[in-house]
Amino acid sequence: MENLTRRLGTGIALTSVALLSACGGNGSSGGDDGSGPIRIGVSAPLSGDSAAAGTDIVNAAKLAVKKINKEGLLDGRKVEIVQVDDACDAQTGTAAMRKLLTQKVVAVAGGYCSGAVIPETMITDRAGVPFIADASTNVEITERGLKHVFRTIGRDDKQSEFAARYMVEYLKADSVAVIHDNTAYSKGLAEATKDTVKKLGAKTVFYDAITPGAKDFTSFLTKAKSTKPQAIYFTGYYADAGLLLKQAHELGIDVPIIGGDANQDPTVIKTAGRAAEGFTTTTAPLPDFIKSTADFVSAYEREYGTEPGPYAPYEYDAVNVLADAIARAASADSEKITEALHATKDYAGVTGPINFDEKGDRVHPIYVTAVVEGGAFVPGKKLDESGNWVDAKG
Amino acid sequence: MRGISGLTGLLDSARVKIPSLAVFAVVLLAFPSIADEYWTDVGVKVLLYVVLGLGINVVVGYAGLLDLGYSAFFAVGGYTTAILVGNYGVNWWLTLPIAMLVAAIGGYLIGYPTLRLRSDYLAIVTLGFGEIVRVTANNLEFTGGPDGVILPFRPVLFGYELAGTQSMYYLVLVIALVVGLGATSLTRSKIGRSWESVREDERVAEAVGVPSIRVKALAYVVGGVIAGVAGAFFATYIGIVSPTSFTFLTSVLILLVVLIGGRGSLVGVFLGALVVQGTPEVLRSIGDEWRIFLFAVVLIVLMFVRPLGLWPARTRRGARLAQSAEEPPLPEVGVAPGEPLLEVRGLTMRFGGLLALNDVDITVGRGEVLGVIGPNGAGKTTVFNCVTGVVRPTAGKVVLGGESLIGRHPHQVVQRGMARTFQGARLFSDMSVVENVLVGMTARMNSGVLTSLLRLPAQRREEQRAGRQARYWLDFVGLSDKATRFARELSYGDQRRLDIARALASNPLVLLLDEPAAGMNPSEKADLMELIGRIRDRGVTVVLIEHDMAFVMGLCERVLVIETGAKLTEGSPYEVQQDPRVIEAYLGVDEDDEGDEDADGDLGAGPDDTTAPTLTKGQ
Repeated sequence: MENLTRRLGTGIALTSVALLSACGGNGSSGGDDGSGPIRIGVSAPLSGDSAAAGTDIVNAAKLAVKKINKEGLLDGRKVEIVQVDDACDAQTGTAAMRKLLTQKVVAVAGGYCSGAVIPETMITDRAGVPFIADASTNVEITERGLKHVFRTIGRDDKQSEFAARYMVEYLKADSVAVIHDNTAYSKGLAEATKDTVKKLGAKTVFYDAITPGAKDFTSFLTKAKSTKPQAIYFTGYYADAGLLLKQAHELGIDVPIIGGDANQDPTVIKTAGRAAEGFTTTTAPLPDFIKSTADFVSAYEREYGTEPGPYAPYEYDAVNVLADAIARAASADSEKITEALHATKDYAGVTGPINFDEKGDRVHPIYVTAVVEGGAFVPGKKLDESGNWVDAKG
Repeated sequence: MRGISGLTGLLDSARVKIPSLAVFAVVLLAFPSIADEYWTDVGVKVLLYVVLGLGINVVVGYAGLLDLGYSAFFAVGGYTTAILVGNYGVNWWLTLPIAMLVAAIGGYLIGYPTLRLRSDYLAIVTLGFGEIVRVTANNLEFTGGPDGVILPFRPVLFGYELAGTQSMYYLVLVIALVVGLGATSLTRSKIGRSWESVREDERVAEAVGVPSIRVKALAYVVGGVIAGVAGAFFATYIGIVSPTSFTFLTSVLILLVVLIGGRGSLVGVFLGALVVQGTPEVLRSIGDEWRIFLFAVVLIVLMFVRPLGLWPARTRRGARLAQSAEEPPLPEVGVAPGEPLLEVRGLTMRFGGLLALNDVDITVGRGEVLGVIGPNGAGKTTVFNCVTGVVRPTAGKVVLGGESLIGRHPHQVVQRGMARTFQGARLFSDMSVVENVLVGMTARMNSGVLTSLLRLPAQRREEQRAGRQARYWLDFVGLSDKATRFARELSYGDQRRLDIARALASNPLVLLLDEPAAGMNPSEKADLMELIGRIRDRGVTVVLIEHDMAFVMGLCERVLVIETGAKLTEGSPYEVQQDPRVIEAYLGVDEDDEGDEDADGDLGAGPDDTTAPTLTKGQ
């Protein structure tokens, strides 16, 4: 035992020496060698509960690469997708990202769960490799001052702005009710909406949380009704929205009810039935809402025989804007691509024109309203570039 | 399942194969220089799972408490560090002890109220605990909800930032070594033996002097602290903690480290972590689509091929027999030889409507050998159970050397100088002979967690003395030549002798023997009589329950007869044998029934374990 203790003690001492001598040796391992295919990494959940969404994202990326290679990019070099499974998990995601970096990807376009994308972008940013997020709306992703992080989808706080403006400017409501369900996403959206409503000069007369899964919201809604709001914004999830709508209808609440993007689900219509008519959600445009995505949707369907998922157009745009940046930089160097991405000007993406602000977010992230009409969600309104409310379709 | 042998195994193989150990150390140290950043990253995660595996090995491997929610402690450690650093800007190094403390409190909170539950219920409770922690973190604001907490700061040591892959690798390697050494120190001490004894047979462990509830809670606390450390490093390395990192699957993966590697073995834990964390990454090269499927296949195949794990603790026990023996001095007691040492007054035990004992008085003088006889189910073992605190009597007094024992736990009764054996010798069968004896000394040893962890001189002296005394007791009962065998490998007669040695190891004033001669052949019985005679000659007071009248008559100066829960008579063997009531009640019973003895014989506390006297009377 004594012997072993001494031996292990020596081991620890040696380890400490090695530890100190090894510090600082953490250079970037990504990068391009100037020949062969240009590699773009795509991290997405390919196992676990979200595997379907992940596969959809990878498919969209491959579709984009097919188009890019047909058109030709840089000195006749081909673009290649390196896909990697991040399992929607921080630990797997960081390993996946380090794996991508050893495979010499020049950039990454992808991600799904914010919990995985946040640590993944820490690693790519350290390595100087740009990461374009296609589906993660968490504010933190672009709020950390990381130079190499971009995204093609809007962020949670932009939705609250959109929702508040819709109620106050479009519906001309002076007093609104905001209802959340105490989950982080829901509460965050509700609080930000309340703040913007105030900024726009209107009042939030009712602000409270339901208990998710409670089934009976009548007394809650009666209380809300007594404050006489002119619009109601519900930031919870679709599972509760159906019953909420139904019971509001029974109580004779006839002011517009708007839901956050977590309510963009047919279950709401199924549960509420006729009471769902007129229910409006604030959401990123669904693929079939946007004229510019029509070609993408049909190309996707031709290629894979199935409809694209909600984030496929954003991933398609992410890969395309990356190719555009590579072409403008005339280089496959990660830092030069990053510079070019920051300089992107009105790139015509299928989800609309793409410009990145200094944080890497889209300058005018597009939100639309979707309205239930005849038992289905149809396009409602959106804000155009000059701030006017126009039809969302087109 | 095997216990202490982890490091000993390493030590033994090191003697033979120092080169292989050296190569292993060199590979561990040089790995980040050989591997690229990605594989170094995998290395960090393997090492983190080594730490977690060491922790759950204490809980599951040693103490035998199936924990399906171990990731809860991992989460607690991670969140503590993340919140303190991320939200409050606390110095990272300061958060480490705090994370350990919070995880320890978590271990105590989950442990203490639930440890009275049986193991399968306990597993469900731990499962629930794991989910509660995750769901709570998912819903609370200060834990960042589903988004989790981001750690913007990286720990700094001597001016070097420690979040890079390589520096983290070495840091976690050091932590794994420290935790490995600490866990080994604990498991090789009194504490480790207590954990194993509780795993083997909790009630017996308690009855031979192990404070079982405290020992189990301690296993949870130690396991919690280790997971807390791992969590703090995990949070720092990944840069974010969120509820998705601490799911039921995480708990299962940590459990797999021990199941795949082999319980109770350091090398096993390392191999298990390598498989659990390494295989999914190796399989990436085959393709992401098949990765998880193939991982599952690998796990299933491994469990088929190596059901006990890749590297289970060795089959030969590590703890060696001391070279020399030391006779423990008989404990002091203010009772002169011949004066009453153990006094039982009005002992009454009711199980529901069943009167198992009715107003029994027993007085045993110091140095005396008292026989207790009576027909099956008369309540003899119930007397032992009441006296030793296994069950609390409905009424009556039990006084040992002037101190009342009513309301004491069995291990406290052992501490106060009364030890017992069991019908059918309930040994800790997966522990060695000498370890069984050492467990019997628990009540007489003072070392705590910290002294054992640090192997302070006082603790080492105590362990060495315990080893020499164990040698003495094994010499005393004649088992020294079998000291390193598993208890289960002993012959029946040897098992009975080991049971007695384990009880003697607590150095008792009073020794209660429950049918020591049952099932023995005549020559074994003769040996046993001689042994009990020597125990008496040491000055130990002996009370024995026995059916073999010749055995009782040959040993005891005085015999007490119990029938239907009450004292029938008491006197010298000759007087008792002549008493017509005794002849009617007991001696008339057909001796052939002896093999069916003792429905009441167990340690059981409930009426199920006690045959009603009325049912067996006249059998």
